[in-house]
Amino acid sequence: MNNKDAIFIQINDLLKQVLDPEIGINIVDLGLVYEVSVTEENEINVVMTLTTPGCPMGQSITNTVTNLLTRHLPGYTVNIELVWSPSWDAGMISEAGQAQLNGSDRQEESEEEPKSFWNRLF
Amino acid sequence: MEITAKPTGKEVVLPHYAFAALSFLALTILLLFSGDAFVGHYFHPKLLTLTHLAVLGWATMIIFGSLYQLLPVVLQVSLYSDKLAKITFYFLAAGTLLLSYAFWNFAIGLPLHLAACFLVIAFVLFDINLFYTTRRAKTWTIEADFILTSGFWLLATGIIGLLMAINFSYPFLKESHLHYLKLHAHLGIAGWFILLIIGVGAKLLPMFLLTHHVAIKKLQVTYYLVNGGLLLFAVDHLFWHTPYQIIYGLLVGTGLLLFVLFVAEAYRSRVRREQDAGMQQSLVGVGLMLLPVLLLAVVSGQIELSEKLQLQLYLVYGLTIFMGFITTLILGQTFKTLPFIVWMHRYQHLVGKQTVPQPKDLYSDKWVKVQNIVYGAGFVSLLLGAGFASQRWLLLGSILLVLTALLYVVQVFRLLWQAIVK
Repeated sequence: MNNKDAIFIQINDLLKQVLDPEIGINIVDLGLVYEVSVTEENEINVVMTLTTPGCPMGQSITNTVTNLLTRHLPGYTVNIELVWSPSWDAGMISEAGQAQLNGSDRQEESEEEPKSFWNRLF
Repeated sequence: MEITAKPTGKEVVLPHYAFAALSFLALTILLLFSGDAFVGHYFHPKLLTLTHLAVLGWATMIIFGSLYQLLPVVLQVSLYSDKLAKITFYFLAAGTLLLSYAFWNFAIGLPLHLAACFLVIAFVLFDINLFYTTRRAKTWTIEADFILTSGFWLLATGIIGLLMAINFSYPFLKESHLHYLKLHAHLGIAGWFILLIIGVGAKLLPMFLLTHHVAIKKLQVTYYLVNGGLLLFAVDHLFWHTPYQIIYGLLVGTGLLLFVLFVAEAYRSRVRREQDAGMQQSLVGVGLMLLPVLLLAVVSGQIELSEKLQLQLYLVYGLTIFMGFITTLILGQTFKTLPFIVWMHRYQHLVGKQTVPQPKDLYSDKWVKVQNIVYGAGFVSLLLGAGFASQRWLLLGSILLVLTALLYVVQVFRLLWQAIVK
């Protein structure tokens, strides 16, 4: 594994620590991160979206991304580009994300019967 | 990097939640002492007080507050004016308190006139804020249509209320008060509450359910059915006086049914399988929107019933609206919106720097579940009490609703406290 690959893995791990506060799953598995690139000038460019353009948590999410990457990768400049096309859709949530969303870390458990009376009923 | 909308300040939004929660508690306590009013005519000082406290202090107040927060989400633009929103709050609060006092004591002179004026001013200011906020929107959506139109109906409802208040002291209206009350009530219910609930619900419910794309065709038809039905009803009621008002009710009812089907479709294609207590309550609220539609035949006089039974069913009809779907939806949606508003103001700036709780950690979902169960039992008891003119059921229902309000107030103020402390 070369240095560039190691940086990408580290960025991916850091981005996985950023949760969408409303949904409670990380922005990578939520499908909000579209593209990550690292330039020769040590710039990290993150192209990402939000669940909706008016998302009140938007500032919080982008600030967290900047704070985390800057703190853990001090030699790099972080640029975030918010894009609205393609617009985010729940279909972009990864299988791991869906498993987290439904209270299970293991994908195979996501098909289990829901626990509460309401969720069994409907 | 560009965030399209700036969230509205907490000093604008949170007082609305506080006032609404206290109004709900006051409403249920007054209900406890109003059992006698539920066995007579609906044009009763106590019932007028309860109804207006429910629709203004409880429902409209919390809707104004949450809308100031939600408009930037729905329209993707910042609120036009925070200052105007604050002034609107004071007029709505003063108008509600004065109106409740005036109705409870049947002080139909200056207190009633002043209250009605304050409320109309509040609605005008709200509409100005709404209009200029929607004008900033770069992309127009069906949700914006619903919300903007609901503001128009709210003002129309307020103006009719003001005219009725003046007519108490200086009679000038051609028909009886009951005639205009019917118009006033239905413009408020279908024009303000239902259109607004659909507009906001169409955006928020699929968002909270994490739904794949849902076709908006049903919503477009709903918009025309509800507004068309309401407009025809208003014109007929004022000028034509035909016996076909049930048709207009059915138009509105069909619109509601389509909205319920829209939500059902969103629910079926959801990614989030487990629903929290707030969402469960909200979905029950959407289903309950059909209950008053089922009672339309009775209130429109299509079925021959004894006068006593008809009056009882009128009260049941009113309860299915004010204490039914409106209250159910507010009880549910409070815990889908307020924790996030509080979280944003208290913890947003700390994210990434230290460990912070998630919005769902700021309140107890278990207690919201208890609150919902107690409320459900109270609501059913109240319906039985009003339907069978039974004081025992009414008392039981009122006690359970006071308990519901206490549980709600404790949770809401715990959340508000977290937003205030540094």
